[in-house]
Amino acid sequence: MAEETPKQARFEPLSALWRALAAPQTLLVLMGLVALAFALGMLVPQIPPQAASDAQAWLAAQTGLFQQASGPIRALGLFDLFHTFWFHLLLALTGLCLSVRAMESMDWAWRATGSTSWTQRTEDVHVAFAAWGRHPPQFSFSSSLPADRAKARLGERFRGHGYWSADLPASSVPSLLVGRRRTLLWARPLGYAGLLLALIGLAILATWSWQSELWQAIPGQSRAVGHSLPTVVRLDAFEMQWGDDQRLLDYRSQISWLEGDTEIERELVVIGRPATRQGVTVRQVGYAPIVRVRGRDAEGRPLTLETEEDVLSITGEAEIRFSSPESQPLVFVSGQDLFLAFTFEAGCDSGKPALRVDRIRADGTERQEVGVVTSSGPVSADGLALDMELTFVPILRIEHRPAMSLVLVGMLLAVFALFAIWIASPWLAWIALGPGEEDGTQVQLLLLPGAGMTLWLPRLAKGLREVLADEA
Amino acid sequence: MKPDTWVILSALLAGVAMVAAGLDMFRAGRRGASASRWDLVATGARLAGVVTLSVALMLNLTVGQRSVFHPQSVLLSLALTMLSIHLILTWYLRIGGAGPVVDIVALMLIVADIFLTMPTAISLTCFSRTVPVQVQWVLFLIGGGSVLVAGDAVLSLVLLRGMVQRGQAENIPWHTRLPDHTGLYGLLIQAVYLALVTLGSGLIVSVWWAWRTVGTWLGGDPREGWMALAWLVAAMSLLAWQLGGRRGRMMSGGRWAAGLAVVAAATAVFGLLVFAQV
Repeated sequence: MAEETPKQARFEPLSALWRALAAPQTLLVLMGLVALAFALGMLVPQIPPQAASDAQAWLAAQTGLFQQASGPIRALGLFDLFHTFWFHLLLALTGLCLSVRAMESMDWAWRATGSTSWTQRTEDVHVAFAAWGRHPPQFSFSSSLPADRAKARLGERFRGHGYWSADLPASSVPSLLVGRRRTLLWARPLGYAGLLLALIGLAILATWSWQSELWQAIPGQSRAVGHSLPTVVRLDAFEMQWGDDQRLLDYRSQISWLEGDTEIERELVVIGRPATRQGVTVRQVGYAPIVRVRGRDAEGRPLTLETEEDVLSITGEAEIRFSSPESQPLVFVSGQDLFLAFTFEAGCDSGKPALRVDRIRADGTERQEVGVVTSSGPVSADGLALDMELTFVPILRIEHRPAMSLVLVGMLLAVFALFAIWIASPWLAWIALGPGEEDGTQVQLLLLPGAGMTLWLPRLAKGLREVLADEA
Repeated sequence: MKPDTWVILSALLAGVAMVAAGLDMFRAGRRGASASRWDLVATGARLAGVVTLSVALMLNLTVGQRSVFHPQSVLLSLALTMLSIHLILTWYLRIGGAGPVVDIVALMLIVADIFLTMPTAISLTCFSRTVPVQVQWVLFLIGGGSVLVAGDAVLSLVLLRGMVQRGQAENIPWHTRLPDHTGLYGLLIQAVYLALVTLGSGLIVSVWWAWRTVGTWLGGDPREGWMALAWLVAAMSLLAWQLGGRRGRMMSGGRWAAGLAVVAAATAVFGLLVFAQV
């Protein structure tokens, strides 16, 4: 069988680089490093986008281990790991490796499913099978049948059982290429290509995408899209739809796209159904309450209320805005030396959105519920009377995410390919029949590497032995 | 009956399955012979365990007022999906009960559920209540159960290897009814494929819904990141088979695949439990 061993080609740097990138070991090492980086990125807190402008302050605010070890963690860039040069380099190398593997596996699939012969020249045979890796699953045994008869018998048996088989005329010894569900050999390059597409999509997203801060818009308000685009978005109306049982069924924003003062288009924005124009998307992220509160003491005198945003005291009335639905804004009631804490309970599909008001002593020792309101109206408890006017505003976000669909399509392709390989289990084998002892044949069986092929190889070899031993 | 009663009943059944599968494993007999009495007891206990775990989970969600993301619900769900997937795959591959490891892991998960005390109030956000998030969660749980089955297959392989080596060292004619390494590796491969497809589908749903709603590529839930990591390690496990063998070591790729499957299982369990919401 020495003749079948691929000849040692002279060293070519580009070819060596290609082989290195095509090797499963390289992809495994790169995937391992990506996995390690990913795990570190999830364990070590990452600088949030809103704190990027003042990273020093954010780092100073860290506590515990991340404060004590902030020096080395920072030196390695672990606080902003997904934006470091080395992480991008790692992803780029993984992408390169995936593209080489996609091309290699495409080559096998093309050769196995194409109408042309597997190879044209003897050297091509060696090149083709060299791509099956340095240690593909292989098995060797001897048969007493002459090579040509053994080949004819094997071909006949495989075809009889519905397998595909083809001759390899360019091979230096009689050879057969055998496979099952060979069309699905395309699933492997499809899977690699899918992963590559997702990676490219992520790279585009990281480079060219942008999004605005959350926008709590009041009807009539406008906001420029920015980023050198002339477009302006205006909120025309915000509508909440209630069921008969006062449950919130849906909420939607009516927006207009403007260029200068000219209205271009009107669109409806619903959660999960954004409005898109020229690559810019307006998204309904949620909704939040705005509360106007007037307070009076037990004698009916107006109370002085101080909000967090408004350092100046406003006698009698304060407007409270929620930076996010989860935030708990505080109002200081200076005359009574206590805070009012407002908590928004969205209620989802189980009830009407509600606003809870608690009072907390100025020293923070005691928290007591004042009341819960679901609409405008008065709330009173223990010498404190609050008159509340409750309205809701949409939370919108304007953004440009050019390659999100590419990421999704790539992921879909990869999962579909995995599913196809799992269900159909396509395989490809090369059977070379060289001269053996006493006019017999030395049979060498080589399988395209894949999950479980090593386990299946002895069974296949046993079957082949039986076929070739029939008339021995 | 209270939810806790069903959980205790599930633990008892897992214990019965563990003892029966253990006795079956040590029973002298020809490998591949027809199912033994103990094997049938173990399979019956596992099937009954699937039923009691389903009831316990339903009661946990309804009577116990716990969300599907609550750590106790996660523990029960993982035990349930793992046992179900193990039963389906071992039946499909015709490799018998495949040893007591799956029962030991199921028992550990159920006992952890019994001793875990956490607040029971549902505090799900509106985002968590949407259908795509629930679908994504079910897919993550099936994926988590699958990688656990893969991890169990690896532990059974280690057990098999240990028993064979000890038998050779002490010259004992050791006949274990554990499936041979081909059967257990087959179970490992099938479980890893199932994990890749389900975790991958869960991640697709997650990315699609996060994109449609909040406009990001992940919904801000750390579990999504850990599931992506588990998917990556499971994919490495599948790729490791391509390493092949060297100088007669036919299974060196298989060993890497086995080791990585255990890492994937640990990642999935860590991600689902440590970052669970109450």
